[in-house]
Amino acid sequence: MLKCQRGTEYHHMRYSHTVAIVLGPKSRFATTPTITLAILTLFLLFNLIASPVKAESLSQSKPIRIGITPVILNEKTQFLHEWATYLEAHLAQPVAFVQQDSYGKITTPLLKGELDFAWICGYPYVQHQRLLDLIAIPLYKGKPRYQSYLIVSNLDIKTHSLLDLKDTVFAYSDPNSNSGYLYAQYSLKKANKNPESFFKQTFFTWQHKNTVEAVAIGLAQAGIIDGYIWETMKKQHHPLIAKTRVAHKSVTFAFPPVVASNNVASHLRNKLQHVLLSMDKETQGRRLLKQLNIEGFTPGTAQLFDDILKMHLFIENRELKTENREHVAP
Amino acid sequence: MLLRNISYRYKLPLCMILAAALTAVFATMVVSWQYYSYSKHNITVQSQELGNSMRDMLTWALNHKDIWHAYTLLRGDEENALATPKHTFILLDEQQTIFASNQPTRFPTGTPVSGLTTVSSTFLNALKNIVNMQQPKEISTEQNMLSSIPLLSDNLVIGSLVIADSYESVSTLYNRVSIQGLLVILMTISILAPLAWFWGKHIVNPLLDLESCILKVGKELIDNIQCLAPNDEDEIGRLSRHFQNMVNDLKEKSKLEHQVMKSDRLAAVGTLAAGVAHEINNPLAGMILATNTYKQCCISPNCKQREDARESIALVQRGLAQIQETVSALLTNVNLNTSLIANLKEKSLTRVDIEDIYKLVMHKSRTKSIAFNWKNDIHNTIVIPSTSIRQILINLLLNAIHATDSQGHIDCHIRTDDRSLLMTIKNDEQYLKWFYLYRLINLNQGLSTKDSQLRKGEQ
Repeated sequence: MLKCQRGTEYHHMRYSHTVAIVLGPKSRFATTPTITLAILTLFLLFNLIASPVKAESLSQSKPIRIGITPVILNEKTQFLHEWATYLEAHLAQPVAFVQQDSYGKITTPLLKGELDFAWICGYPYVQHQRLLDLIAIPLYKGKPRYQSYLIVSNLDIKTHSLLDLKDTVFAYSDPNSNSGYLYAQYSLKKANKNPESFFKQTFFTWQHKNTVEAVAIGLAQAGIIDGYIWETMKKQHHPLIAKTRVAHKSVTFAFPPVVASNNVASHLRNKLQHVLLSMDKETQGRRLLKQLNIEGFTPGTAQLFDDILKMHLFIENRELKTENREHVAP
Repeated sequence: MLLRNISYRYKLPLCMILAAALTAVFATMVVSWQYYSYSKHNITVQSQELGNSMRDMLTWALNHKDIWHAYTLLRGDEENALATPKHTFILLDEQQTIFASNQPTRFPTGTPVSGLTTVSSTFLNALKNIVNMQQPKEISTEQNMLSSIPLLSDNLVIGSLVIADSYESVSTLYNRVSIQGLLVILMTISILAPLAWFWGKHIVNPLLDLESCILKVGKELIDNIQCLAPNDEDEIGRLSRHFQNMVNDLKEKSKLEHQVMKSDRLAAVGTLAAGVAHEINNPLAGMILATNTYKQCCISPNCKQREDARESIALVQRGLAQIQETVSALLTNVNLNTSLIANLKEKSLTRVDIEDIYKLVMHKSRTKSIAFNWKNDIHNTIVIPSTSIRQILINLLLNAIHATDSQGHIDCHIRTDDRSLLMTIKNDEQYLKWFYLYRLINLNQGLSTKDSQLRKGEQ
């Protein structure tokens, strides 16, 4: 029995095309070697002739690779499928969303050009601003801004700021998150507290949603997360939210942006930007935006991220002083 | 004790239900206990297998200080975050400090084992004894089973995973299984009870019928008792048939008794008639003799024996009186047999009765010119039936006269001793001695037995 399998697979952002020929052990052709050999030869010749055509076709239909970080509640596979379909319809090109459970796992391939676009946090953006191209910033509550929330257990009625949490177990979201790490580090250092020793123990949950769970179940006494995520979870009546309380809200920062790798062609960059900015003008687009709990996208400017950059520089400067290390920010 | 007083109609179904219920309860208890033991063992094995499967990943998390990673491993599915876990996992580092747990509230991260305040002292002691062992170890407490799996990195113990399984969940399961078993028993009994009731009725009804029949014996006429014996070959069937046979025997006996009674009554009537005839016949014989005497006296022109005639009339009168008494007794008494006999019994032998006999037979002896030597030594009343004695004496004397030639000689001596009435009649050649034994007199035997009471003696 002759079986031919063809498939296209995305694994760790690597695109591969596989052709497999499997000869079954009980093939009836095995009893007639001459006929089998002839068919096999014909088949191989057909593949040799057809392969360049197929490769060219696939090259032309190479999908746009968009990285998704935990800046949104990214477990919505159905939503991402619908969004990809929407974008494919408007870009006339295949779209593949690539999800990872940390900012770093998206930022690194983006910088290497293995991803075309990504929705990342403002902190990695300011860290790698020279290598990234700002495409759009979501509009949340009408503005391209959001806050960082300090959350504690709903049973904790005493905590109102980070400084009330000395010698506790503290949960950060991600070391590359502005709202889930940088702001807390900045606040502690600003208050002349050493973030390394202020808490009894710290750990990363790698997703804002996980930080909510860590605080809700008592794994950590407090945590710091993206306020947009907490509000979206609350809007969705997530059961964990009821077990947490927002002890402190930060000032507003620029919302995590959609950025492009410098390797992306300008027409593709402009095309995606146009599609994103036009989403709120279409019914289907508005439906998708509603699921994201945002109103739309705005082009934005790099200056919107200056607050984050300042916090980053503040921390880096101090670290540069202590560790004599050069940062990559502009 | 209470069951003893209850009818089998109720006792049998109750016992059937009770036996079924006890069997079901026992079976449920055994199954539940087996389930409990198996569940305890199974939970421990499951948790250890689970712990072993997580060992490498937890070692990695310990080495990398990744609390969240360790927690997600211990937690399992995300849906379990707010649920009560089936197993309690406690990941400890080499300093015996809690690194992560799937119950962070009970086992807070960063808390040394010795500083735990959220668990019982028993649990805490068990936990202290089990941590940081080089080999897997198990400790049982009253409420928990603790298993320890050491976590090794490059042959060094860097921590341990403690798995605590509460028996409470197993007990809850045990109780649930037991309650479900009891519910099933109740449902079974609710189905079984009507069946037991029906079967009990079916089995016991023949016994109740038999009891009803037995109770009729003695209260009702045996001929009215009708019992249908079942054809079954069981004990009740056999007993019913035996009883039916007994009833049939009783009926047969009753029938026979009826027939015997009827025969006895007929015999008694015959005996009575014979007795009455005899009672009438006895005086008639005397009266015939008396009338013959009177006839001869009256025919004779020179009837010299006026005195004899007068006495003959007196004899006839007494005979008629005797007949009247007998007939009166028959008329006035309902129970002819006993009353008549009683009347007759009361008539005892007197000297006059003896003398009457002499007078009756004397005329006969004169016709043959027989010399009659008469000696009557009876002076007191003797309590024996006079009629029988009179008849015997008349017959004896008439036989003696008949057997004696003309011009012959007859001696007759009537006397008594302490025990007997002796009547000695002798002619020329021989003499006869008749005696009547007092002691043989049995009044209850009536007139029909008089012959057997005579003994003929010869001297």
